[in-house]
Amino acid sequence: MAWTAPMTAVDGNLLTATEYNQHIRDNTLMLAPAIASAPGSIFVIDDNNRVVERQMGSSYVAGEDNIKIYQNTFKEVQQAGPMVTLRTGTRAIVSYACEMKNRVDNAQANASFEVSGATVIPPSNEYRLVHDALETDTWTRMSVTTRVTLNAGINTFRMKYHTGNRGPIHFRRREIVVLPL
Amino acid sequence: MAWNTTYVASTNDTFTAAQWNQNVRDNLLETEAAKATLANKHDYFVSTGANAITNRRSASTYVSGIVTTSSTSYTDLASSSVTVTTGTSALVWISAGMANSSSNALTAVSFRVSGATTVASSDTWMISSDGTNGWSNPYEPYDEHNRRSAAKLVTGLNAGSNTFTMQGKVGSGTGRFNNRDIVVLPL
Repeated sequence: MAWTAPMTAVDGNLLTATEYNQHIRDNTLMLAPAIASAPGSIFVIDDNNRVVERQMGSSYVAGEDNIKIYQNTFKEVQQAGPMVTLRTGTRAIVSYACEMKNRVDNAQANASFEVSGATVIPPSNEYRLVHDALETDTWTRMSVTTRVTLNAGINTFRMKYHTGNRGPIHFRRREIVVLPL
Repeated sequence: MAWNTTYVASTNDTFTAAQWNQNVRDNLLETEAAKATLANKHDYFVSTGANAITNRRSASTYVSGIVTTSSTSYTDLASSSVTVTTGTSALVWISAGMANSSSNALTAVSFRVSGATTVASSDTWMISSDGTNGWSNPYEPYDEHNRRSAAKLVTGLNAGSNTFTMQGKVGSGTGRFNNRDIVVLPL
């Protein structure tokens, strides 16, 4: 199906079935209500006279997890993720949150995310969430939001973690939200 | 071109060319498919008022390098701005790593708006760090620092080209800022 510039009618001309099918039926099928398949979608431009549906996604892991010893590269914790897989264009806004605490004074906790699938982006300190606190055994929950450049297609976003110069660091109530554009 | 209240047909009415042009052609030209162009790929549509939509484009600026300030009022942090076309509102996220040369000293980041609209930075939508040790190693940018975000739905904008600029300040000491990120979703 493709969009056709709507014709300009002239008095005295009859509307043919072909004209109706092309200018009303086919054009209407290019509109958001015709292509919507699920609640909560947004619509973004994909081409000349073409929009596509995008669905936001999120994932949440409630349970407490930890990294027991010094770990200076991002890793999975026992309860993986959270992670979310969805179709994106070349941009997505990614927001992730985590509650973290140190089991030793003045230690640092770090969370970030990686992208896999159509795009491969390793977890990075550049857009990480950092909690560096004096207190021991005090939970703090916070978030970070960034916008990433992607290869359009099916992409998976997954949170990962590391300590500062020592552990253990604990994590819980972890959530990642992705707005594909 | 503008949207027209759709014509209601009655039995035995003749559908005129003018009615077609107004109710079918002109209204179709106000739809998202008619307004979509490849040059604006991945833009999204928002309403701009009754029966009117337009495309908007998200934008962001990320700066990894370190900047410092000892200012106790908000001052620009170099290169941390983004300019977008907005309607009367925009959703803005700011993120930064923050540390301070003094212990238990506030370090804060907010943003201001300029261009079609002027809005000063405010603690109301700041991100902040406090209650940490002062950095012990001036050459270690990630010592005693916290990185976090905040979101703000900015309303009351004048529609047009608006620039969002990150600013920082401290309560005392010298604040150090890195990995600064500002993301704007214009509405």
